[in-house]
Amino acid sequence: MINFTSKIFLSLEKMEIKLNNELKDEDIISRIISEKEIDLFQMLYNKYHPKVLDKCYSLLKNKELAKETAQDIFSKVYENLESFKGKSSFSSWLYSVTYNQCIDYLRLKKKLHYPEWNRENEIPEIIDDSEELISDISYDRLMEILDLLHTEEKALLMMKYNDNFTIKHISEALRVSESAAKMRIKRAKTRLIFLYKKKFKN
Amino acid sequence: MDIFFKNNLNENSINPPEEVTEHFFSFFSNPLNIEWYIENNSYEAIFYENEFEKIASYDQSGNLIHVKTNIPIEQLPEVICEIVKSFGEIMNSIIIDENSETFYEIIYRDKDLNRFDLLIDQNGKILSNQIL
Repeated sequence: MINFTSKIFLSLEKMEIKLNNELKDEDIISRIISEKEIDLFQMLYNKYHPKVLDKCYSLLKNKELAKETAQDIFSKVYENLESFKGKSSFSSWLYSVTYNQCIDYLRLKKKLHYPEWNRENEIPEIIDDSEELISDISYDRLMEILDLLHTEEKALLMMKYNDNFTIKHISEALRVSESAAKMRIKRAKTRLIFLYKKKFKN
Repeated sequence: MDIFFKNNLNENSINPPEEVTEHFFSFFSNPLNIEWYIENNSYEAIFYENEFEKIASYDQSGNLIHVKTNIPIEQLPEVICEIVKSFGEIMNSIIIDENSETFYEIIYRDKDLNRFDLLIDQNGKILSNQIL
């Protein structure tokens, strides 16, 4: 009898896990907020932590710091969950917080100063990108060149071309105007093509 | 990061109507790396001219609305520079040419590293000053 009851409980538990795994992020958030099912946040954490950690490391370049920052990001997101209005997907919101947290850390603690860096690293030549097709580039080489850019430029390209953020979203995450975001993306892409040509085509 | 990034870098911009491109190529002498987008019902070209990043916006009929040019901070007029410096450190500067008038869109940060988007006209009148 005990064995039979345990089996039923086990199968009910599995069924609940399966049901929870099928829940949309927005449904999970709604249940956390309205029904105080705070344990469900673990599901969001498990689903997105690897990606957040990856983004943090890619910008901060320090494993320990990336781990700490990823934890801070999830704490911040949990505390502000009620402010998530569902205007964008939860992942976009979470990644936006991720970029914002990493760049703000670098600006504050590492004195990351884009205008100064840009002044000292003028692009020597604006290459016609219709001639220099970036589609030729291998993925590994692309990643190598991305690491040569200023972290803010790298973040801009990642948001635009990897995470498919809108310009509004990008400008909010990096705290720049929309026009500045558009022009900086343009510059970052131009620099990427220049550096690629210099390193791999000459 | 996935392969999506690499593919997306070559994303195609849209094709604007002929009246827009006609004006664009007669107005700008040597535009390079032009990308066209639709933004709030207007056509927008993001491109380089004389090594400056520029944005040209057109309405649906092909009328030029404004041109924005990203300029080095050192190229801001002194009077504008002095006004903005009284608020904080300048982080980005854009000139907006619209209907024969000139405006400046400046990003600055205060001592606590709060960032602001300031719009100022050529006479130094502040039109808006919003936290970013």
